[in-house]
Amino acid sequence: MRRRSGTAPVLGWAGLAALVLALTGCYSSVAPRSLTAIPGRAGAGPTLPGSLPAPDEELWVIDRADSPAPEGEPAAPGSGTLLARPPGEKEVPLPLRHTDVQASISAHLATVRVTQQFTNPYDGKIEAVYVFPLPHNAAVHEFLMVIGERRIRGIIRERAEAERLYHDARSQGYVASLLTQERPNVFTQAVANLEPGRGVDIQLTYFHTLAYDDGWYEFVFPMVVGPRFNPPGSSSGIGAVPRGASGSSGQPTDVSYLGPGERSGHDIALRVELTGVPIEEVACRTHAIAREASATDRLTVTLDPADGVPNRDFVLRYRVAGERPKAQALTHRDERGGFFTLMLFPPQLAGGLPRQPLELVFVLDCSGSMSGRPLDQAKAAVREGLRSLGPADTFQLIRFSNTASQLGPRPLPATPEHIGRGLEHLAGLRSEGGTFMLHGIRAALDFPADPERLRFVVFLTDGYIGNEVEILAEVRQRLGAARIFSFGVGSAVNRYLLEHLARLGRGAVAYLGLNDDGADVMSRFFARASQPVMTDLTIDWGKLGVTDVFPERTPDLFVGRPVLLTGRFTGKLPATVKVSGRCGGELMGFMVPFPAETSAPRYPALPWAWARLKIAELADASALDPRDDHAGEIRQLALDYGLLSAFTAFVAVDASRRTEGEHGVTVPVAVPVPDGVRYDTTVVDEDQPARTADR
Amino acid sequence: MNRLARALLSAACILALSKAEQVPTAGKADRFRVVDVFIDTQAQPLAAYQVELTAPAGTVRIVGIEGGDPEVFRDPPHYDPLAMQSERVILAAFSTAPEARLPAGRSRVASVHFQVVGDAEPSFAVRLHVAASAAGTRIPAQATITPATERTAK
Repeated sequence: MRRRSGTAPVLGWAGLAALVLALTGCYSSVAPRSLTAIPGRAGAGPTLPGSLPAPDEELWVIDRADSPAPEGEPAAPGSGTLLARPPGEKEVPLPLRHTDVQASISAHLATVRVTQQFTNPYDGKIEAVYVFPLPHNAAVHEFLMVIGERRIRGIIRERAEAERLYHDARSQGYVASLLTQERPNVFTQAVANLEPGRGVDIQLTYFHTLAYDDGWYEFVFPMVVGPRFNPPGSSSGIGAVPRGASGSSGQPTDVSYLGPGERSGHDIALRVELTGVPIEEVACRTHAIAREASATDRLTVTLDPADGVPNRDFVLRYRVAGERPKAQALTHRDERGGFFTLMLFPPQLAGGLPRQPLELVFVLDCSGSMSGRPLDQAKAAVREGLRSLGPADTFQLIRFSNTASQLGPRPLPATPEHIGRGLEHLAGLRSEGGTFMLHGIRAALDFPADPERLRFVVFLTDGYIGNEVEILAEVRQRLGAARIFSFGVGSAVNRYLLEHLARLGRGAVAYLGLNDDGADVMSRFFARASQPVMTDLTIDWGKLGVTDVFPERTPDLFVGRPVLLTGRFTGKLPATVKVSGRCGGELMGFMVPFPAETSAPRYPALPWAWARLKIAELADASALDPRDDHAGEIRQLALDYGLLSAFTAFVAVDASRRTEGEHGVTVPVAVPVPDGVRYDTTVVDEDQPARTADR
Repeated sequence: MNRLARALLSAACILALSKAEQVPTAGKADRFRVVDVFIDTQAQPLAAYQVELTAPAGTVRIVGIEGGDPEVFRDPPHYDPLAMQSERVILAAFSTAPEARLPAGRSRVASVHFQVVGDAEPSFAVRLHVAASAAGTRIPAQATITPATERTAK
């Protein structure tokens, strides 16, 4: 430690705001409950004789020291209800026992606190490693390690430094934890020197902005990382391996999956509090929920404890009562400067103009992971899409897995005959092979533009690939004037990829869950596409000094779907700013009011949200041109704002006590394959090369 | 709360106390240690504080900030990420609890976990930027640090 000369910096308003958030938050700390287990199968690595599981051994629970929660009583944070299991399902003891999620939503900003309760069910020390998802726009800014009643705040550090500190602590016998980011929506949590019968809770807190679509806000909490496909030669992906085969994928990060008929004791409790505005309607099609309104502007939604298996995204949609939303600005100013978010809605007038003819290119992922219900859902959506085309439109139908093929050499006019041909072709599509998405992208974007029509490329995929950077770079290079609309099909899709595709393509994203009506989702897309788009948006900021606005490429403004712009400002806030754009060939404009600075509520999350967006833009720029190294800028930004990123990590070490003996084996936390996804077509199994090749 | 915040900020640059202590360490490999941070307010209840730790001698890497003994300061204080980049630790916390629940006298308000890098033994300097009462007024106080004893999980 070296003293820096000059005046000592102090925690300013942002720090104080963070203190307020922290001290008014809802923490939970639960003493660990011990599990008794016999040796079994739980991952690669050295094995303590006669105690911990070896890779080829099976593991059975013969005794469980804790009892399930009383019947009918909802799972309190940290309580970890034991779920009923179907007959014949085998429980696999793993070091992650329970996840508790507490979300608080105000305006379109969510603050989410996630507590992961690790425990050691074995009779020797272990290191637990858990690969898990978070929303891709989550700004993770707080990390606590809780040991009994002791709470240790983790430190954000350069990733290599954090990893070194963690490994030093692990090798010297200290309880330590490390949180790293593998993708913007995939993270790894490691906990070292977890002693038998002991527990360690990890609490992380993040902010993120919610999506808004057709009057509904959408809160999503992803619960499992779907099995990713990595093209041959790829060495920077995310592998999918069977439980006990960790390290076998050849990728730097592996996700271990429970086999068919296996279930870990890991369950999840989730609570969402909606505050500040009256809620008219709440809907959750993915999970059973309970809701309780404690005031007109306060509603609490709780996940039904019986639905606590973490095998699909939790998606909560809600509608705010009152008039249709208007364009608005949120601002925050602290010692770092001013930050704002503009939420733009198209003007009412835009609804009455005719739309431009479209060239619709449907691109359907027919790889093995789409097998079964996901492909059926995607086909239902495309069927509806074909039937919704207008006489002036043209269309193309492309499928991809190991290779790509298409309906015809060029887009076909949407005549009844051609549509019938398209429907017939669609019905014959089957899922098999790997997810070579590059083939699909090239096929969709590499043909001459039609000057008479606006090209909409509609991707329908689960996004289960490990080479996102390569895919996004390809899209950016080949996009031209096309717009991309991505449809995530499945229960736990790769939202980072899907939303990035749509953002790069100045389009929009939609999700088609296994319980959704595919035709309905596509029909809503067409309803929106049938409205004119407001393009070429520009904003007259007046005298306000505005910089670093993200996304850098302003999206088009579709009816029912706002555009969110986040940036920094200096100077006095104006009363309004003017937004202009083209709609149906005509120049249009509307005003966005700014709140008066003296009376405006503060949004301390805005600096974090802005920094996260800037990091995402820098990462995109790096992907487009790897020679342009933005790593240093991302690292510095993340350190300055205390944020997790690909180049920073949180580390926490309990240096007060050294545990005895070696650090023990590493036990990956195996997770279920997402609901609706087949294990045998997605999880690599080296014992069965034919199945692996089939991907 | 505004008064309290103002007190924290306005007094931030005032050096209330500076005290350096040698932390005994054993062994020369990179090793992990803890120091406890105490604030002594005599009889006055402590509602808020901001302290700064530096190591004028030796090289250390901070690896964790732990909360203190008083219930109202059990949650670990927040740190300034900008200062942390140069291994300076600026910690701040406050409580809105009633005065009766606030600690008075000498309390461990935080502990700092760190790794000692290299052979040199580190020494720490602690500087109390401010200590404040529930009314948001600055109170006289003294900050000290001591090497931590081993803790067991409760």
